[in-house]
Amino acid sequence: MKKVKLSIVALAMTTIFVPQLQAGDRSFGDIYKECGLGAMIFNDTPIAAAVSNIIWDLGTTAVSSNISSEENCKGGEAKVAAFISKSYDDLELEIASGEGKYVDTLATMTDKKVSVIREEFAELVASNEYSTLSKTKKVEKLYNIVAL
Amino acid sequence: MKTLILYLLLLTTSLCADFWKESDIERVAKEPTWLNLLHYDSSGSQSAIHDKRFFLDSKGQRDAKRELLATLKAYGEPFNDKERDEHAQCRFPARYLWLSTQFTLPNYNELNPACDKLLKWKLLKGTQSISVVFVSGYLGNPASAFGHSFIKVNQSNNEEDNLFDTTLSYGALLPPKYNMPEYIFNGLTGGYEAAYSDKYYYNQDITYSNQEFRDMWEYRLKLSDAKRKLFLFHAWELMGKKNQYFFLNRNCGYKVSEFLSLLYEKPLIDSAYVWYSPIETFYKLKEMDEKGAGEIIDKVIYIPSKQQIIYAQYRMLTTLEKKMVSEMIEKKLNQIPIEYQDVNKSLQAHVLDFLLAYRKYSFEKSKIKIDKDIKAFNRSLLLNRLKLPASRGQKGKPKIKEPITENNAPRYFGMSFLTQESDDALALHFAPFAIEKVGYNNFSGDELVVLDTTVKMGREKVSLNKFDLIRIQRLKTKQIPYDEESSLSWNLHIGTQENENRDYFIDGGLGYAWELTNHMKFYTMMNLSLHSDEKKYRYMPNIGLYGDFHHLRVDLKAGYENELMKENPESIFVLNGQYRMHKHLSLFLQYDNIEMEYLSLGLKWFY
Repeated sequence: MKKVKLSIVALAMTTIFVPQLQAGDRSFGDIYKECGLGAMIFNDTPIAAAVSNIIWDLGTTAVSSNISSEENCKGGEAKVAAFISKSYDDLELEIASGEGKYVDTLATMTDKKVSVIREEFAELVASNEYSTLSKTKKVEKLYNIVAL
Repeated sequence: MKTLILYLLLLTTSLCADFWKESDIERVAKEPTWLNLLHYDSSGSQSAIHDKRFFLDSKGQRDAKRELLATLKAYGEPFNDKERDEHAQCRFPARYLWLSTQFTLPNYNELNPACDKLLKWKLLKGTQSISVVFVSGYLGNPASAFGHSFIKVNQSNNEEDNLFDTTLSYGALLPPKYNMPEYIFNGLTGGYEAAYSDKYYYNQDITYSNQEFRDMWEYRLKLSDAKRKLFLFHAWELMGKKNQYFFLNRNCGYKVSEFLSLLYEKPLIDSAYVWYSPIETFYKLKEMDEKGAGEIIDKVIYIPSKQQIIYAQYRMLTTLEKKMVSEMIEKKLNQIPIEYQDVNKSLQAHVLDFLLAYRKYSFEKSKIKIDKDIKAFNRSLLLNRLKLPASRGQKGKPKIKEPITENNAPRYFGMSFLTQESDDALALHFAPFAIEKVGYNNFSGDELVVLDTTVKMGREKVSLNKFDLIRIQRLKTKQIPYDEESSLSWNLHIGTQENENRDYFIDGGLGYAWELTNHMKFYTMMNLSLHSDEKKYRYMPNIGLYGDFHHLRVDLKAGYENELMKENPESIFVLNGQYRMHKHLSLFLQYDNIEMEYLSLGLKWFY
């Protein structure tokens, strides 16, 4: 409940103070909305290709104008969120196995041991709701495991 | 006051004009590096980039000298406090860097502190090396059948930690909605714009390796610090600038070569009037490397597709593990069978690791919709795996495939002695793109050949003996016994052949193939064909044997051909073989008795 409240507060703050807000202050929900992560996850939609070009490029304006400023969507947390979104299917298997290039990268990025991620991820999978969760929700839950 | 300003302006202009000698301007405007920086074509008449933002002079796309003058002038202009990043020094740092070696630029500062965005650009900070990556052909998309290439800017030298390296990839900018005929038409006729875009490497790894199952080869380049800097500055200039896209000769491969040409004294592109395939970049780099005593390529890294990784993982399983996997698949179990519950935990872990990876691969390959039952099953499997200890690097590594540039080059020219129904002649052979089933390559009996042409020079006339518009073969063999992926092999052959009359035909076949040993495949096919000569509709059941004995590759085929609804079958026998004598030269033999006896024995030069 506390998390939900925090998230709502952060979201409200975001809408008012976006330019001043640092990446570290944002919840997954904020990053998701501001950075077009939804489009990125469902990357078989045509819009997503364009959006992902705009959002996740590295500071250059690849195809269209860069609607997201560096302050908004280039921060470390946004980078982690985008990485999880794109590679969730691979991460799921590698976390289960306890090894692999993707999970090692995630561990390095978040400064969290693979064994700890694995333990917390096991709790998530053990919950009955796991198989009914949407991809977005799964991504969010994993993001919360590594970011919190 | 106005007069004073005008006077100062005139004075500045005349000073600028005097600052650079006209003869130097003339010389530099024709320098290959300047033309490369502007992406002018080989004739030097115009730039391939039609984005106005790429030029400082309104006629800069067609006049390299005017663009040079405008650039030099713009570098000397003061910074506007509100739009500092829009200053020419910030927008065109590669031109600035190179021009500083040709002229004395006033107050030259390679990276002006006013260029905020450029200074923050990640690539300038931690780049260790630069690579070019070749992605093998993908028959799921016509534009990808001949492979793809992109540039990889490595922030890490560790191959196991490279997911956040940066890739620069050139591609058509497709509209939100399009259909395949439209896509092909616009791709061929220049109906699309194209641009470079930058992405983290994991995006390419997931798409090409994990979803499309394409092998990749990374060619890491040897570059001095100065060249690396020039390259990165130029990448900054190019990002997002629009070009006209032509699938055949202004594609990703051409643009990668064009970009790399900036780094070398000689152009990477020999000719691209009609056709340029992505693989050509790599053969040219290899050729330059050999001539330059290894100064071009640092190393070649094979990046196996997820499919190859899963095959290797399966090969690593012990007999008992394979038995457990087999039973779990057969009985649709999501946990280790009761009779094996007591076996070693790490062994159980191997089994579940493989099953999870295999199921993901299998769903990805078959593109089936994941319903709630599948989701629930996957979750149970995942949970059971998470209850077991983590693995410790025992998944097996795929066999390393040799670099693509060790294979036959994609074009060939050949000469042969040809006999057709006792009519002897010399023949010339040519194909602009030929990865042949009996060629020296990694294709294991598959092939993709276009515009393969044979001209027969008889005593009385010269004639077009054979012309294959396209020839494709895909021999799919099961590497995992219960692989549910469609294992249908297939071939397609469209062309014309000179028999008693000229025959135009379309021939397609479906069948199955099996790997007998590491060197041999057996296949069986049913071919149906449509012809322009007397027997219009034909079918041809056939069996074949493909052998790969390193330098010698052979394909034998036997069967019978019959006209539909008629009973007059004729037995057929086809033999194709090639022996690689030298990296550019192969001896070849072609024999068949379809319609009339045909034998061709000669040499092919690959280049």
